[in-house]
Amino acid sequence: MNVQSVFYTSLYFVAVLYTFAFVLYGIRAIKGPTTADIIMAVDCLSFDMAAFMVILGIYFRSILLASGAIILALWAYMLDVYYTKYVLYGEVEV
Amino acid sequence: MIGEAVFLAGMVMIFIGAVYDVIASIGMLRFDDFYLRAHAATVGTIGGAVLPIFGAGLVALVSPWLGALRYFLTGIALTTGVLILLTAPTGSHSLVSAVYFGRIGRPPRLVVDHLAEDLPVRKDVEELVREHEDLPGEEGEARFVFRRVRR
Repeated sequence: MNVQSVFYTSLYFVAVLYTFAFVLYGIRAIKGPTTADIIMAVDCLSFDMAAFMVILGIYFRSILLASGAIILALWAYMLDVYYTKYVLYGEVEV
Repeated sequence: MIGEAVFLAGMVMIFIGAVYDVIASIGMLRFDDFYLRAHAATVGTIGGAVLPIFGAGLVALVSPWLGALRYFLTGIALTTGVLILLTAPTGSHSLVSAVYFGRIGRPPRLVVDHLAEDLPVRKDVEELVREHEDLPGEEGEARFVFRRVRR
């Protein structure tokens, strides 16, 4: 039993756990009472999806799948900052 | 030997990160206040995203079946981990401050609120905003005044 088969076998359990977490985050993102709840759920969903995309990039041996994680992480941060500026200052200044 | 030890450490980090992620998502669904959900979100971003990304970087560094691709994957994993480690607390802090100062949703159920005692009362803020909006040509200072606090 070499290293590769250990990784490929244990990734099934990790994928099940991550998918369960994604579904629960998605439920909160759909039924959130305010917009801030939706944005916080989408924020967590984006960061965890970035982590899962790096793991999938190792699984499929793809460099393109892993490099999208950087953009996904920065996009979630941009969502937070723009919502804060819109709520507190009334406008989004770049 | 050292390669297998690093691989085992990376896989343990990935598993612990996945468990953190499930715990944070259950907390995000079950808590009934925004500020408690912010606590769950902190667990989900640092424990559930940064830890498995560093673990994936360690796994990719010692995986021989990836060939020359493993250095690219390790670099991407470490870069994304450091970026999330920097941006996730900043984003959560700004979002919670927006909800608190903008008075969105229900007010927080607190025993004592020291931040509300230190803030200026609402009439002062109104006067500040009105005085500032009458002044022409000083739009650079507008970013230090909360405009939505008036409601």
